[in-house]
Amino acid sequence: MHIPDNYLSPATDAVLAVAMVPVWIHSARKVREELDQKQISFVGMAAAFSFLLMMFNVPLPGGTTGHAVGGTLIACLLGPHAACLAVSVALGIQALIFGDGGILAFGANCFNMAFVLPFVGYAVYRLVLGDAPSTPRRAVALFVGAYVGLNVAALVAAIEFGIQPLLFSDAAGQALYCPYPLSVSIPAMCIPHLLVAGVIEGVATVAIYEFVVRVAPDVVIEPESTARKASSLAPVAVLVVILVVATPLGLLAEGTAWGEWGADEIAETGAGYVPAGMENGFEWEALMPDYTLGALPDAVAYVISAIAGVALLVIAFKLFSLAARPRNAYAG
Amino acid sequence: MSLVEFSNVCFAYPSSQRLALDGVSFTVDEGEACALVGPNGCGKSTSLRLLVGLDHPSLGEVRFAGELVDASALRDARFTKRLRQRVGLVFQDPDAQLFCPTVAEEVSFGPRQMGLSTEEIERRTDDCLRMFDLERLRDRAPWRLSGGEKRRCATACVVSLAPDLLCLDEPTNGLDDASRAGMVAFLRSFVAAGKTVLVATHDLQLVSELGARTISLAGR
Amino acid sequence: MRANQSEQESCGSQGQEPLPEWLSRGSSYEPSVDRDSFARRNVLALTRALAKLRSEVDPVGQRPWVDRALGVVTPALRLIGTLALVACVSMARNLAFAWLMLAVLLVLCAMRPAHRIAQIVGPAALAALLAFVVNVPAILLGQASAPVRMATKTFVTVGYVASLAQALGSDGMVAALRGLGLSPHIATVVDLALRDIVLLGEAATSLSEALSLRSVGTNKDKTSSAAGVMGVVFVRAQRLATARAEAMELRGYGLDWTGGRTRYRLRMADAAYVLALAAVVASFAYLEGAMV
Repeated sequence: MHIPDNYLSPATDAVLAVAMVPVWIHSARKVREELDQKQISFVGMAAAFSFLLMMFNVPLPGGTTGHAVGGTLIACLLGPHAACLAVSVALGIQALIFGDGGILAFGANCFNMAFVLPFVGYAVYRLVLGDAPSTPRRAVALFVGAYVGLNVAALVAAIEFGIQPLLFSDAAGQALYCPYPLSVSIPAMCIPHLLVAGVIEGVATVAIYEFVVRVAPDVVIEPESTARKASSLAPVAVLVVILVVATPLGLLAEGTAWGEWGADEIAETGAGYVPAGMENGFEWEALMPDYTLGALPDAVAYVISAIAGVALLVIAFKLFSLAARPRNAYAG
Repeated sequence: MSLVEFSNVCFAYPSSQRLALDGVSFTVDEGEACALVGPNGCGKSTSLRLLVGLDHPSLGEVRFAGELVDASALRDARFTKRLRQRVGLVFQDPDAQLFCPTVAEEVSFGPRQMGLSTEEIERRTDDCLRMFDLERLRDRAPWRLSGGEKRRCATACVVSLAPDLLCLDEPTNGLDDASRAGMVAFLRSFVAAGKTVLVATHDLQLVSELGARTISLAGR
Repeated sequence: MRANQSEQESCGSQGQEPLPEWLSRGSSYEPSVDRDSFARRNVLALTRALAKLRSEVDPVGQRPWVDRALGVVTPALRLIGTLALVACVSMARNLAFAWLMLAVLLVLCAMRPAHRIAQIVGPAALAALLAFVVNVPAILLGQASAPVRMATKTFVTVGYVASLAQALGSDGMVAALRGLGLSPHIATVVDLALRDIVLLGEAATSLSEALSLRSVGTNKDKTSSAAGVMGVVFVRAQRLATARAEAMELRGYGLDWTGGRTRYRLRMADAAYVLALAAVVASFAYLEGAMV
């Protein structure tokens, strides 16, 4: 669902980026209020899960690929505000270092995946969870919340794509940016997410959430009834390592995700022409474009990218946690 | 309203993960003589530091005269100065406390800060030097004094502030019998005048001589 | 302590001296706001920061497993290894090796506690920023990638050195140097000097706190207060050094002291470290060769 550069007009990019600024500020403040040092450190690990989930591309009907995001997972573990920050930082790393998602489109990507996705997902989760959470009910709530969250985000992205030809065309009627109107973009994005990616998101959310709550219940914000004994995060770290090693599986799915084609690919996808905005648009030279590294074999570079991304996220949030209030519950 | 109130105070020094104070609660009323007792490392000195705002509790509240003593309160310079005039703290190590060229200057430092008149400053200095038997040492450099003389000097230079609450950390360490008797007599007069004394000590004889109420800080 | 007959008496019971009137009445002091309160707060903060400047080595139980494992390796060997790594990164023409070492550094950092990360990443980032800025003119000379290359290499090298420094601590560093042949006398002098800095930092902190506690009004002569603190610190330093020299002499330290060094014996941890180092150098050779 990462929108590359030049698919949205600069105006669209700017509007969405500006819309995100108050969201980020509010989220940062809420996170500082609600989470303590250990929890903010843990946001880094949760962000790592999201980052890794985004590296597992799965083939979708229609010949494209897609991936889960994990935003609802973080929202249910640590609150939607933490999820907003975590996914934003992950998206930032992906855009700057790996060229995954545009730089100018960063605001739009954050709007979809760091704002709409976790907040909608969390709201649905709480709605379904109700007042008397039991373990099966929570699993259902997690699945539904994650599923709905991802799909609503996909819908919003599809709308952002689809209105481009409407608003930004040249005199000849050719679109300057994304050439596919709503009638194409909405089914193309939403159907695969409804059928496949949403299910993966739901399953991954439930699995990882239950795992974390079982091994490290004291870092999650709810449910409040569980024991608050200080726990080690080692099992979570082990899971992260396993996922990192498994990332090359995400390379098996061939094909580019819908809406993530390069300028060279887009003519063949059915548009018939390369929109002017893409040909002459902004180009960012990422350090490891598309998670490759020079002459290294793709799988190796993919694992190294995963390692680097996870390390950066953990470090970033550990550094943020220095500004937080220290842990209250001193155990033993 | 108590003069001093510790409510569920927890504190850990930043460099250590061990709690110096773990859920400590106590009060001290005006006009009382209280003693914080307990084995080494149980947090007696730490409590005194929290009271004057040198450190701030991680959890819980420290109140003096009903007012909260924490980082944000101490950002107000006037509050801080007023607090430190009303609460005098004499450190355990007198060497850590004396920084003026002569004993007389050391004792008069506080009153000079307060902007008192010259006569008042002189009067306070003379009274303190006399009360703590330092008159013949008034022009001596503090770092040249003997251990007991330093302790008396350190106490005098805090008393010259005319505090309402006098906190002393191990006040009788290293004092010979005569100096010790003098210190005890002074503290008793101080309390008799309606002021408050809070000593951190493991000298139980001092506690009984002062008639102090003991507050035990449970060791870990 | 003697009573002064001319003073007003407050209620004194037998055997106790009456307190002077200014002491026994309630205080009604209202401080005026002093302009130097900003400086006063910051001087105390500064001395506290200096006292914390020693990067205290965490007790073994608090270290992440990576640092515990590395801690078993002989410090001198770690110093050699780090220097070799710095040399390789600096010489690499192909950035791939630098990225690889950066990835390893990031992973090591990610496992450490937050304040340790800050101690490593802080200086490294600062140095990298400096390197970047210094190299910006190279863009004009046609070397557009120079700033990023230099910044990356600087970050990696400074990062590893900072890692080692804070893992070993000051005494570990001195031990490492001794392992490489530094004279035991010089090592002792450096060691003691470093400890002295710590102790003096603490002394300065206590005195500054005392000063701060008694600065209850307007300090009209700030310089002499500060000078007084420094002067006392100096005197204490001198006395400390003298007392310690006497204690050392009593315990047998003299000019014929060999430093008590035992012969080096190869240990498992050292062997493993050397193997890891060899792998790093091999990957350097491979990646450099691959570019050619």
